[in-house]
Amino acid sequence: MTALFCAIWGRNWMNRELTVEIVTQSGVQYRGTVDGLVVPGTLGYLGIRPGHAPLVTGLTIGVITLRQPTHDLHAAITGGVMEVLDNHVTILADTAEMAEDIDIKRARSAMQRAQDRLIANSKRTSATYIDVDRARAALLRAVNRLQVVQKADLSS
Amino acid sequence: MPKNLRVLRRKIRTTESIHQITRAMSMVSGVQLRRVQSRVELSRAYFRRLTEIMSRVGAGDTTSDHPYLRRNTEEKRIGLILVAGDRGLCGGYNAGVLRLANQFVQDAQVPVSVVPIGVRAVDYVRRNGWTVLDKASMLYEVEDASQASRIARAIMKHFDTGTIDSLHIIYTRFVSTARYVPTYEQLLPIVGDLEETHQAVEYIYEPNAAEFLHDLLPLAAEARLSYYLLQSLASEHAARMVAMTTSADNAEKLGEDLVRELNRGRQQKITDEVLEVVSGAEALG
Repeated sequence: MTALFCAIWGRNWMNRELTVEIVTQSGVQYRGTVDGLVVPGTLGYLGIRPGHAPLVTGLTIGVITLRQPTHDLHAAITGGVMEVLDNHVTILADTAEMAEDIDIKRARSAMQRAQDRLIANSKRTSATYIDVDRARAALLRAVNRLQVVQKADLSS
Repeated sequence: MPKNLRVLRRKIRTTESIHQITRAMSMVSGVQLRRVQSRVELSRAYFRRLTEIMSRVGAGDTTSDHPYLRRNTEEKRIGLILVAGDRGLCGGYNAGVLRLANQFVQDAQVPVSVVPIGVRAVDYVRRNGWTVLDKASMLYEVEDASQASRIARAIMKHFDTGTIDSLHIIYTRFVSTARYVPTYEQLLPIVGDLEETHQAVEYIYEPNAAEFLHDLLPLAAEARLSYYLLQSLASEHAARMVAMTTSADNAEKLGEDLVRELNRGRQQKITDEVLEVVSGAEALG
């Protein structure tokens, strides 16, 4: 994946904080203040710092990194949109999970299951039909979750 | 008289069991309502923020020609999502939406294709011989949001391919436990949200406005549909809870009246028997 970093740095004299809200249809997943954040935009990862100009963008599957003075927080999202306005970031995610909420065992088994299904499908010449797109999406999601956990472990 | 008393006893037993059943149903609906209601409130946060972003984006951008924003096109066929319940015994819940749907279909200038959601809606559509848009996206139980978005995508595909020129929904808006209103709204093309006069914000669109709208608009339509489905579900539970509580109370009152009548009858019978014995003894003495 080609990552495009386009961080627009806030000037020192306006060193304010960013308030961030990550909201899904099943509720607010995260609400707090951060020094900056990195999100998976549709064209690649992009960084937001305090004082950023108003911006809206679509988000894709990936890892959100929330930078805080002591440690970074990580979250897995599967897509959505983001709005940056007046040092307030609203992320509307299809699904979002904070690293500490991720069940590693479940993510591993989901990955395994998706892999098995894809492999079985490639071996078989025709016969049973499986939803390849769905299996691929499931694999991506599982890998993404595991990546988030890995990042969280590294940074703590 | 004894036959009458037996009939009364049987009636009392029946009302008693009706009382128990309806009481149980109202309690079950109460539990389900609380569960769904909390989900409505959670998704309200998402919905409100989405609407805010939509109105700000809409205020700044007027040049878009995205099909979801298209206006004043000639309509040849319109789609209607009709959300009703799976079961009865819920007061006027089903009747309300079905009446509204009937009116909508009759007033429509062009053919309407319906997507019925819920057993009652499916039955009603079949009985009236309305055209069904997509059998695959008919739904009986709306439980989670992912299901709703899957349906939303399936239905919106019909809009994308031009099978339908606009998409409408009739659902039940959940105001409070005591108030739920059958409601009509237009889902596509999106109206309203984007026309509200918010202060225009000069956004940077990443990667560009068209691409962003391409991400945002389907998301918004999906979110609205699943929000409405959830509200309908909450309304159904609330309506059933209220209806069942009322009938349980009525059964209780009726039971009390019947017991009173039974006691009066029994007393009367005893009095009659005593009188008989006394007058018999007098005749002998």
